[in-house]
Amino acid sequence: MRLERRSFPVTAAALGTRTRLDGTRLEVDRAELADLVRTDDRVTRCEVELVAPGEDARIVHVCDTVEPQWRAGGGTFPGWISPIRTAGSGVTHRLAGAGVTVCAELPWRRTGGIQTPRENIAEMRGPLAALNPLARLQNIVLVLTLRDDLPDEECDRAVHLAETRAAEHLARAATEGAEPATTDVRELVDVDPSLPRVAYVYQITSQGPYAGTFYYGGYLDRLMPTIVHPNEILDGALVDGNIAGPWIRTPTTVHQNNPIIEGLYRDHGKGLAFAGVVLTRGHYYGMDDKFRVAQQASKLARWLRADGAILTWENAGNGIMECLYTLQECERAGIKTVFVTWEHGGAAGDDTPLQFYVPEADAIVSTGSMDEPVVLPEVARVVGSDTIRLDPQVGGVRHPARGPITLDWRLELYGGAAHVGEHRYGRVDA
Amino acid sequence: MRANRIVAGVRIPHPVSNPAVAKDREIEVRTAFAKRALEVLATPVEGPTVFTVDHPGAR
Repeated sequence: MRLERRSFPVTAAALGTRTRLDGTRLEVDRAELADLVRTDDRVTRCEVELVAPGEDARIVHVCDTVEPQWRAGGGTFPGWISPIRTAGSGVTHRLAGAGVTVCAELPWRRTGGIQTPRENIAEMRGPLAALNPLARLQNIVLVLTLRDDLPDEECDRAVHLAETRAAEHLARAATEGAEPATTDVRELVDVDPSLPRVAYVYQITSQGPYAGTFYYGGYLDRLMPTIVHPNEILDGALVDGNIAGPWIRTPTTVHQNNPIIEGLYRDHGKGLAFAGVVLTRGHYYGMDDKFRVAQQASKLARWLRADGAILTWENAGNGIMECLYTLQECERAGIKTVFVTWEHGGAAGDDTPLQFYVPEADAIVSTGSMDEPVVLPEVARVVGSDTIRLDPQVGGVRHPARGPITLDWRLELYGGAAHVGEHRYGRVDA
Repeated sequence: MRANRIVAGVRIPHPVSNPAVAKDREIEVRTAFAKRALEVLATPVEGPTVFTVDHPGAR
């Protein structure tokens, strides 16, 4: 499976009369883009805004961010805007450094619970900008209003259809017939067989609308661990819908640029051999399900003939158990492991960092704490909504989105956990 | 403080019951958990130890 990625860097964005790329400056025809998104009759309104890195701005009600990609032969975002076929081979054009960010106020029909579409806040400047995956991107923001008679799954699908559709359109209009700045190839070529083989055990979570991960357009809720090619993930097979877990989610642009996959590719044939990816799901409620996941995922790592494995996990709470049981089974099978995780630790950092632990987890990389309280400063511009909604467990409390906003912990900061290391150990826009 | 004696439940949201068992047998499941917990309290342990419960619907 050979994927050629033609990269067109974007360092500035502006509104224009037609969508095109002028050097590294992306011009966006706002009306054309909004009309395209509104071809879905579930979307009653679509505003298009541009937000740049370092701007005195905050984006709220964020549903996801996707890197604009386009495939000349068709097949972009399979399961969404193209028929389902295996992604990861052929030629993909990408607008590196740009992101389509979709915002919408989703209905709160229940108070609390795992599927509440929580407030997702993205800071564009200041120290907290380093903690969100879109703060380094030129954002083309779609602010949607959805019909108010839609069930939750329809709302969920509408926002992700909008972002994938807009992303493909922008990438095609900007790159068709143009020469890329760089071209790179992702392929698991044969390498020195004496090199240690390293697998990536990629644990996502998926629990229905607002708490899902989509694989070729379908929820992964009942996923048993499976082997996927890393190129499928880089090429848009995974779309993130974990709006319910802002801090602990993997925005789609992070799937498309996963720094652990990119790092293993970089070192493939130079010190290690990239053995492949085991895609797995955590946060099952049944103990037996957790053990099934651990047995299956570790078995697949063995089938990949892994000598070592890197494990990451998405989401929070008991989802850590599948990941650490899998780690334990890998170690018992002789596979050396590295566990990458965010931590709790309490407001002062002196409390228990992990909800669960196995003694085999003796090489751990921390990506930071969710529990430190934080004050979001007043900003000049807010995009997405004038208000934010916090505290779903009491039915929701609205605050001015402009700030200042005090958060007792960081759950509402979009993508903040960086649980695959996208901010601390790699760059999503590189 | 350490939780030295742990009685393993079935599901995260059902720590001392089993939603797969018919409602009219729920009392049997809960009684099994309670009795096991009392036995476990009287069992010496060296360190954190997980105990299982044989209850209706366990397998």
